[in-house]
This record gives sequence, C-alpha cells and structure tokens, in this order.
Amino acid sequence: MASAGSGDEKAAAAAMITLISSDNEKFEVTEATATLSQTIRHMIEDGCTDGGVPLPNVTSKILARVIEYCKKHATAAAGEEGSSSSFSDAAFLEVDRAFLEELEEFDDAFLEVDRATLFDLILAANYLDIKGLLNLTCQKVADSVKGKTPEQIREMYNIVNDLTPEEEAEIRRETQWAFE
Amino acid sequence: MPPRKRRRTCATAPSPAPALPADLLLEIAARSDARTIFRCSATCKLLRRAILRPGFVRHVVSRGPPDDEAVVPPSILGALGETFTFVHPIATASCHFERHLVAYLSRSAAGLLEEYAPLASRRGLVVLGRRESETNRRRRSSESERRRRQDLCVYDPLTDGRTFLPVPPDIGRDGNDHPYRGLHGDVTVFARYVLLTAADGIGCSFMLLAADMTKNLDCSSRIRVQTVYDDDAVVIGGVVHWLMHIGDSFVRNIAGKYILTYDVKAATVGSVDLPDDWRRGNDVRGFTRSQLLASPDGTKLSFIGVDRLVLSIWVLASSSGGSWALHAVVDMKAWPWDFQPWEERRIRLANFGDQRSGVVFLRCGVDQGLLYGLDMEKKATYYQTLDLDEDTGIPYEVDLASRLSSMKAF
Repeated sequence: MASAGSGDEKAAAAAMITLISSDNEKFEVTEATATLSQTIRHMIEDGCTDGGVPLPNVTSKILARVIEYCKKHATAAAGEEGSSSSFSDAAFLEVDRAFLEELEEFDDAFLEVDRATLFDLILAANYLDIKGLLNLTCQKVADSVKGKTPEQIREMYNIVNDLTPEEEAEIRRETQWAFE
Repeated sequence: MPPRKRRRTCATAPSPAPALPADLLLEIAARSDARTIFRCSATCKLLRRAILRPGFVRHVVSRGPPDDEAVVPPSILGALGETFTFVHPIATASCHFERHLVAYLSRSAAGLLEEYAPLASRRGLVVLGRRESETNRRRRSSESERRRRQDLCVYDPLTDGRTFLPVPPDIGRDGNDHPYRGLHGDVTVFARYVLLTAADGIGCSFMLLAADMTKNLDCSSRIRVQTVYDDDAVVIGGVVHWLMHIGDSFVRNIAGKYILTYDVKAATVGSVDLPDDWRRGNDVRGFTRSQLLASPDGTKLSFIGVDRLVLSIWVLASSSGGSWALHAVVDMKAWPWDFQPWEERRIRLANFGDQRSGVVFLRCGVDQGLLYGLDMEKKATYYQTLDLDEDTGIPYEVDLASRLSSMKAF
C-alpha cells in the first residue's frame, strides 16, 4: 500500500499524494481524490508514489481542473457511503437525490470551457484513466458533433482530408441517407 | 530538431495533427448517433478505418446496460408503401435518427413510389413493379415498349440506387392486370420475386429471381434467374425457401404445406418437410397460420406456427436438412390483451421478411391495422398501430450493422 509521508514536503498526512504537472507545479491531494484515477491507483498499489507522481502529459492548468473534478466526485462518493447507515430510507433517498443534483450541476458548470480545454481534459482523463471524467467530456463533445457535416467535423477535430474527390463521391453514394 | 515533413503514415496524420488521437475520436463517436458515425467515417482514411474495425462496430450496435438502446440500431424495420413507416426498434434514444431516416426515405422515394409499387424487399433492397394505371395503358406502343423494359426496379432506399429491369418474358403471363401475383394452379405461391444480395454470397450486388409456379406437385416450376426478394421466401446460405401450400387452389381448403428449396448456385430444387410435431398436432383445416423466418444471425431457417393462441417457433439444424428443434412456445393467453374467442381465429402472422430484428409480428382481431410485436430476444411484447395495408406496403428491413462493417475502407 501507499507509503506516503516519506516525501520531502509531506508531514504526517498519511493519505496525501503529490501530483506534479508537466510544467512542474505540485498539487497535494488526498488518496481518495487521487484514486479516482486508475493510473494513479495502480501506482499507489505498486508503492511508487514517493516523491510525488510526475504527470508529463498534463499541464498545471488542466491538472487543476481534473483535481477539482476528482475532489467533488470523491466527496460525493464518500458522502453517499457515509450517509447510507444513518438515515432512514426516505431521508437517504432525499440526501441521495440532493447529492446527485448537486453533482449534475457541478458537472454542467465544469463543462463550460472552450473546445481546446475540453479536448485537453479528454486527453488527461484518458491518460489518468478516470472513467467518469472521460465519459462526461466525451459525451459533451459527442453532443456537439451531432448533426455536423464531415467538413465541419474535420474542422472541429483538425483533421486533414486525405480522401480523393472520387473516394468522397463513392462514400457519399453508399451512405446517401446519412448526408442529407 | 529538424522539422518533420510529409510523413504520410496512417497513425500520425501530417501536420497539423488532429486534436485527438483516433481511439479518443472513436470514444466520442460511440456516444453520438448513427448518422454522426457514418459522417465521421467520411472525414479521413484513418478515422474511417478505425470506425470499420469489427470491435467498434460490435460496440456501437450492441445494447448497453439494461434496456439501453444501441447507438446504431443493428437492424431497423419499417414498412415501405407510399411512404416509410418505422416499425422497429421503437426507441427513445434513436428517436432523432428515426425521424431523420423516415424523412429521408419518404423524400428520396416519393417520386419513384408514385409510379412503382413495392413488391418485395430483402436486406435493405426493394423490388418495385410499375403501377398499372389508365394513362400507362393508353400510351403509344413505342413508348410502352420502352417502358416495358423498365417494369421492374431494384431500389436501395438508403443510397437511392435504382436499377431498372424488364419483367422476364415467361413470368406472370396469366395474370394480366397483376403480372406479379399469379395465384393459379395447384401449387400456390403468393409472391414470385426473390431478391438475393451480396451478403448471400452470390458474388454480385444483387440477383433477382423470378419464379413462376403454376404447375403441379412434380416441381415442374419454372424458376428464372434474372439478376434480389420475395415476401414469403427466406434465403439462407444462397438457398431460397418457399413455404408452399398444397391444395386444389388457394381459395379452397389447403391440404398441406411443405418447404420448396432452390439452391441458387447449383440451380437445384429440393424440399423440406415441416416439423413433425406441427404436422401431427394440427388439423390442416384448423385455424393455423405459419411462416418461414431466418434466425437473427441469418444462418438458420425458422418456422413459426400459430395455432389459436399458441405460437411455436422451430429452428432447422442446417439449411440443407437436419431436424427441426422446438425453439420457443409463446402462449398469448398470458399477454396483457384480452382476445375475444372469435378473434383467436383471426390472428395472422404479419409478413416481415427476414425478420433479423428478432421480432415476430401479428395482426389480429377486427382491426387488422393493429400490429402486435413479439420481441423474441428481449422476451417482451408490445404493440403499435400500423396504418399499412398489405396491398400497398411491404416490410423493409436494413441491417445497419453490416452496412457499417461492409463499407469500403480506402
């Protein structure tokens, strides 16, 4: 398990992990927050988080957002677990719903970013293997890509069209219904 | 570092690089809808190849967690008459997709369906026959000669592809006004055009079989191979199966039934008996209904029999023979609708082609416009009203999964 505490700037906080962004900024997070990332979870399990976890693919700007997401969702998960025993069913359901609503509002607000940031968040969620975040961000892009023409999709994703006009015409012919 | 130029590799596109790697573009595509996935496949070669990979196709056509509909419905079923009516799946998730498809099909087919009536359909292709009208009959002979060569049309609604063909010379001579439905003689078959497609392993995009069966039980039927489908016929592995009714005439009592087979490649005729249990258990003069189907994966022949309120499905071990195995028995008494005793006798199997959707459709009661669907995979029943007269519309089914996976990669 984690042998946190031996890091330079760490005190006795046993469950704290240090994440280091590509531009060398350090972020201290609880283990519960960090382990929303399967990648980090595995590193903790392998005991290789001493001295911090370098994340060369993630900038500090994006990492800050990712941590914001993980913190919120880690508390929500903990809150749900903690509340289940101490409330009656009805009260629990009430709390549960409030949690979910709050989480949904958080997610909506979280997604209010420009497209470049959204793509960076997708890359980070994929690299850190955070399922919930990957799903959330991909769904957001998927909703905005619906109804776009192939040319608009290329523009959005920065894709270079390497199909010849003949090949394009052939594709159009075989899937006419999808283009109108 | 020297600038890297013109590296035309597939994995990393030339600069500027795509905003996201292909596997993440797929993650996004898989959360969009069918139309968007097809459109994404038209953006560049890399993304197209990634979408056509079997793993991705399997992922988007499979149903997600309990009762979630697939992003791309594996098969869609509708009725094509003067317009297109959506029958299955009735999904909330793909609602937008349905509306788009209905609008597209109705629009692209409109002019054509004014002049031609759908005769048969299979695997997304439709055989159309020219509608007979007064104006058509009064045309000058040179004009009518030219038009005769276009009496049939093999139509692909999704691509708007049209191939016009003449009616084969010896087919359907007897029925003057209805050249496509001859119900004469001792052996009765209700439709005579069979559509085979590339997926049947025939080595071309489609083949139309026109069969004229007006003779006796000695199988002296003429089967002319013209170049696709038939609402009563089921094609499995390149073998056409017709459910034949033996009797004096189709208007009289039916003396029995059997399955006539025609192997397209070998041009050989054969026959298969109906399941013994069915033959033994049912008074041939009783109120029974039956129909042939293909299994959802298209590899096996199924036989559905309805005796009053009990529906049984048998599956044949192999298309060339073997024995029938009872696959399912559904007792409609357990259905949420009360059938009046007199309605039991009026239950009819609605003819829905290959039925790869795995749904069996029934019509019953006085209101034959009411279509009951029995989803054999989900074991669920539902019903919907379908404003479709069997004389004006035919079932039209598209296997979107195979359309997607069989697209050309480039």
